[in-house]
Amino acid sequence: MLLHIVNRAPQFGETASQALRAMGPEDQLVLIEDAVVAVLDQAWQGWALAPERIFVMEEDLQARGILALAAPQQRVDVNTFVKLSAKCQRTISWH
Amino acid sequence: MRYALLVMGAPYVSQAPYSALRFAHAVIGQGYDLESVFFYHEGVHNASSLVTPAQDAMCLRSAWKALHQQYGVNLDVCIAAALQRGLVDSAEAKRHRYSAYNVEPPFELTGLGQLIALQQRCDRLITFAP
Repeated sequence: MLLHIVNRAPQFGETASQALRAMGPEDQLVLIEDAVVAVLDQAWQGWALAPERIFVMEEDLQARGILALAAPQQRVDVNTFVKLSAKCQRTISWH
Repeated sequence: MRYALLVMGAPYVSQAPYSALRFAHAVIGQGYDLESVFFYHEGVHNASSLVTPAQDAMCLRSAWKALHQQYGVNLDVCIAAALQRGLVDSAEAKRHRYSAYNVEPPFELTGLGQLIALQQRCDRLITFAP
C-alpha cells in the first residue's frame, strides 16, 4: 500500500490525474498545498474513482479559505498525514 | 519508525519548505525519529545565512536550526546543488578563494551519497518539492 502525495491542482495540469492512474487498489492519496483546490472541481475523476481513499490537507484548505468545501471525512490534519505515511509502506510525491 | 525529509523548494518561493517543517514537527510530536532533513535543488536556499525575511515574516532558517538544536535533526545540504547556487561554507570558500561564505552549522554540505544512505537507513523518506 502506497501513499501518493500530490501538490498540484487537477485544474492546472496532469499531475493529479497521473497520480490517480498510478494508484493501486489499496493505495491512498493526499492532496496538499495547491492541490487542495481540487475540492472546487466536483467533476474531478478522483472523487468518483476512490472517494474514500483520497484526503485533503486541512491546514492548506484553511489557508485558502475553502475549508468548508471539503467534506469532514475527506479532511486530514498534519498529524493524520504523518499517520497515513507511517501506515503505508512507501510514499510517492507527485509535483 | 525513522523518518527523513527531502526538501526541494526555496523559502518565500515555494510552499514545500513550510509543508516540510510542519510535517517535521508532527513526526517528532508523534514520537517518531526524524533523522535528517536533506535540502536539494532550490531547497538549498533554506541554508543561506544571508536570507533576511521581512520583520513580520517567519524565518525558516531559524526554524530549521531550532529543529536541530531541540531534536538533533541533521540538516544536510547537497553540495553540488548548493555551490551551483552560490551557497558555500567556510571550507568551500577557502578552497575556491572566496571572500565570504553563507552556509554555517548546523547546516552541513554533503554529497548525494548521503541522500541514498538516508533512503536505505530510514523507514520513510518524504519528498516536499515545488
